[in-house]
Amino acid sequence: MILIALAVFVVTTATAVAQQNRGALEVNVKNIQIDGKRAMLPRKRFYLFPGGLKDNAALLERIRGAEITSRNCYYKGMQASNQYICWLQNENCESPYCRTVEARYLDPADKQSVPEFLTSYKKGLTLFKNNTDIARQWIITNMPDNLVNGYYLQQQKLLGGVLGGILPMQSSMTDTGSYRVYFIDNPAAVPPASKTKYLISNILPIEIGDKSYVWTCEKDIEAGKRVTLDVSKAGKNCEVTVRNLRVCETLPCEQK
Amino acid sequence: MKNRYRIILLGLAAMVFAGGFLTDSSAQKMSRPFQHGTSAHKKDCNSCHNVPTANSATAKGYGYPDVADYPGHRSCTGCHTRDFFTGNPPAICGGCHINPGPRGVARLSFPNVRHAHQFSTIFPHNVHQNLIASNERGDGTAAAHFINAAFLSGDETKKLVINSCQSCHSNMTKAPGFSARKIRDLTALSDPVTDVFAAGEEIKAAFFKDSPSGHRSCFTCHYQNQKPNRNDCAGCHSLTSAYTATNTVKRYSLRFSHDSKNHTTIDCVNCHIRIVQNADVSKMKDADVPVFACVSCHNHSDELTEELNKRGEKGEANYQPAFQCVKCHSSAVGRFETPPSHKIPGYRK
Repeated sequence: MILIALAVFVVTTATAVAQQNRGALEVNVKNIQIDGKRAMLPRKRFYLFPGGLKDNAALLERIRGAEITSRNCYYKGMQASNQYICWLQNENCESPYCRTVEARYLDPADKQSVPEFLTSYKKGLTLFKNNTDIARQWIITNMPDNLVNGYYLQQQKLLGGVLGGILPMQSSMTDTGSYRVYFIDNPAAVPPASKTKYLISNILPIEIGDKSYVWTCEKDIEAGKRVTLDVSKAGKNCEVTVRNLRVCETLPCEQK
Repeated sequence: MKNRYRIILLGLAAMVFAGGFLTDSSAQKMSRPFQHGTSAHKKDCNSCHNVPTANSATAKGYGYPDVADYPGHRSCTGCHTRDFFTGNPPAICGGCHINPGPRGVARLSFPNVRHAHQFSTIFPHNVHQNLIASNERGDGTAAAHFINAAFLSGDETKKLVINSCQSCHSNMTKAPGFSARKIRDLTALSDPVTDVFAAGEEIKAAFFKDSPSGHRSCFTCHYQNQKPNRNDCAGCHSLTSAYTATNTVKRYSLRFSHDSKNHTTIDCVNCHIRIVQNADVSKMKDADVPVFACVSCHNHSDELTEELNKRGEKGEANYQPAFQCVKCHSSAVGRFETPPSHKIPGYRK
């Protein structure tokens, strides 16, 4: 009985100690300015790695060398119609999963009607026995993969290449509104030991205007504490990799 | 005398002979439902199930193409022909039919909710978040992501809907069954008491979010082209040991409302930190919403700290070692000792 009680005590204490040896990191990307404008970075995935900038020199080198194909270039390369590219652009969408397809985009008489949607809709009418609601609401299912998943898969391939086999400790997403991302329960040294350094990066270049951006920062995490990294104020603790994107001209888009 | 023995022997022989015909087949022996895990049943799903079934798009089905009925007789007759003519009524018929017999066409509901589930669902949350829930309106106004379910709304001609978590999870309209999650590693400090809710704070439907329970949300994209599609059942379902499905929502914090004023204005990922990080939500060990997320807003000046102080520091004026935390928890959880995750001071702002 005494042994069982002792075992329970040891396990409970160990759990409590383990919790105390962890720290939290809040990464704030709300105040990043690009060309005098606030960069909107909602729902962007950031990755956490052990070590700082120097410790991850090889990863940093791969980030610097990573080149993405812009959204426009990808879809143009896939022979997407200008209307489809504009439909994506109008709501800053990277894929058709982004938003519902409103009826007007299926109306051939409408200037903004999207040929890809019309084709898929017609296939849906055949497949779903003229059920117009299902044909429209399930429009994505009849679209070709390269116009649906292709851009994402291309990005995932790039991500895999940049990571080069390194497994991030965690990944998390920024929210909309406060543009923060949290990494919790990170192992951290207990004072007076030195702090534990971590690397945070979005890895995948984010397309803003005609450039792409990767923020790679280091931050010390302390046990039992919540530390905040404001990327806009990180100075030498952050490296911003900016690359010019290849421009693929598309025809001007109609207003929303 | 000899004749009497002969008659008995003949009778016994006849009984054994007849018994051979009456022996239950493997299907008849099973009083349990159809077992997908039986080796003879481990076939390509499409060898039995048609997708969609003929009834699925009709009013009696779901109103959209799906598997809404049992496989036809041909799926069974290959191996179980004899069972169709054994017994009155044949036991095998009871697997699908309400009143087995030549005229008993009517079938049990499909899927049969009284049967244990034999499959678990594979759903990589993080991939779907990357693809679907990673968007916002171009003007940056979609702070909340609590908007009408994208694939379910009727008239979308005027309304622009940006897909988000809400594509699959919307506020419940009818309160589900709910209970507190079980606390395993902590000690109860007091006996449970009846929960008291302030007026207007009673648990109601909008406290909870629903989840897709059928194929509809999936088939929106995965019916035809995008893999796994409707014919690749194993892409989403894997055989598992039988379990009884429950619609009971289990939470550590039963007093949390998704619908309260301050909660509807923040993004889902602000709190569901672990869901964003996990490929397989079903394997998460900890609370999907860590207390860290709560204290981001409910910080030192708030009831949470007051409650922790009542528990934690003997110098506090209102120190009550067995105080039950009631701000977020029901008694079933609040009566246990404070977990280590709540004690990390730096996690609070």
